[in-house]
Amino acid sequence: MFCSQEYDVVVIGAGPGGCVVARNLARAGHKVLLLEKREKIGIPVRCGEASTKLADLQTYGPIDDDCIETIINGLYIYGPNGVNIDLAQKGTGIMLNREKFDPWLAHLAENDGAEVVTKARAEFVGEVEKGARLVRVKLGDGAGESTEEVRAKMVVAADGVESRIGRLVGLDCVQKPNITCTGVDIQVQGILTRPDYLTFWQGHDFINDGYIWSFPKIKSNVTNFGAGFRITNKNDRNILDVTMEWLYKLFPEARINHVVGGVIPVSSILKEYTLDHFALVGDAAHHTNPLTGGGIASSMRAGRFCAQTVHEGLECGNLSKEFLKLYEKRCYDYFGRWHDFECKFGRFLHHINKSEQTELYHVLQNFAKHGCKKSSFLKTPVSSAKMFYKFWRFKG
Amino acid sequence: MKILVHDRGVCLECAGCVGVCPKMALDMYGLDLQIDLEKCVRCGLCTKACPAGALKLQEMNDVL
Repeated sequence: MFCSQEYDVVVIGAGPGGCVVARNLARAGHKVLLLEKREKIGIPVRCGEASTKLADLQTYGPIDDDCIETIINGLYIYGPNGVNIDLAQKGTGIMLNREKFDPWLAHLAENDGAEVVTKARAEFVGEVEKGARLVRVKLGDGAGESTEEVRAKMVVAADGVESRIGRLVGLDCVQKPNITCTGVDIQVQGILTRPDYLTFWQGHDFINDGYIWSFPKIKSNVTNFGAGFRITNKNDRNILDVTMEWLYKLFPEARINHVVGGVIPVSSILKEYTLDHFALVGDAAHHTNPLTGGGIASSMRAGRFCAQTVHEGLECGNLSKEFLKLYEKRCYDYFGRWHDFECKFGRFLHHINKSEQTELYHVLQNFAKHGCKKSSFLKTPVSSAKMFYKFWRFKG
Repeated sequence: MKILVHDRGVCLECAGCVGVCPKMALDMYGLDLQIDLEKCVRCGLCTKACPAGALKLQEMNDVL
């Protein structure tokens, strides 16, 4: 049972994006309902759990120490033909424990006045009627199942990669095959690679359109070993088998705790994800980074923009599609433009041949070695210029 | 005629297939995957998206 039948805002999905929206709007004095279909928020985790965008993660202020597994001091990339990149940077990122992080975010939202309901699955969102939308919610399961209806001036769907609600109301947020990654994350006991580094394998034959990662979780003494690559016709074998094979090749002694999977949108931000009295946030709006597949930080940032825009809309009584375009614009200006660039870079990386890829890695290697400054490119003047020109001409 | 078959034993319950299905023929209820065979157009996208290979398009005769 809900406390009320009428809400200012209903947020669907209590992931990082949804929680930020719910909390910020509740804090601004609006009546907010946050729905989560699962029994426990954050479980099961469908994520590699690393992030290098601390500023965006800390949209609420400092993250609770319990949720942080590791402080990351650099990235190590095993590139093609033995060209490896060592990108040392103190405190560049963190490893999260999403089983604790997501509930913590939801708890903060609840503390600030949002009503959080779990085992609540939004089944249907209606058309706008008298300035509100109807949301039909299925509560509980089995014998205790019931259906409730609420009305909300604004519906925010942060319902993840499958975004059924987004598709139901007519937004084109389906995952298209060549711009979607499929991934697995294998939790292995113990720390496999350098403990304060994120380690990647990229540009090898079996993962030419993605990468393999190894992220250490110090406090839990486990490693997230996973992989993501594009859904293309080329890969006949499923990604779990490929990743397992690679894991046992590198670490024959590896002891596996459990395996999770998922798909990741790598299309870069959707062109349109708002309607009258409706908006998408996070994976549903393809807010994930198209090169790295990371989405926690950008979802939280988008959640903040969404809350800000909806708050302004509620204040002036205008939640039309035209008005909510402001939210899309804020996201695009903050990270969308950069995501478009990274998307192009990702396609470029997969388009060029092996020797060009190796050359590009040499350029990046020198870039990292000489302190990641623009002038670092001058250490490999010929290769750099050639790559810049190729990339500039690349239209794909 | 082909039919979509789901192997619950290897399924990771990630709902990745739900996201790629162009016809919304798939849905995840808790840990159960439901396939609406009337909506399914046998495009095979979900079989490629599945990280564990839990979904397969098989000949109807082989299944029966």
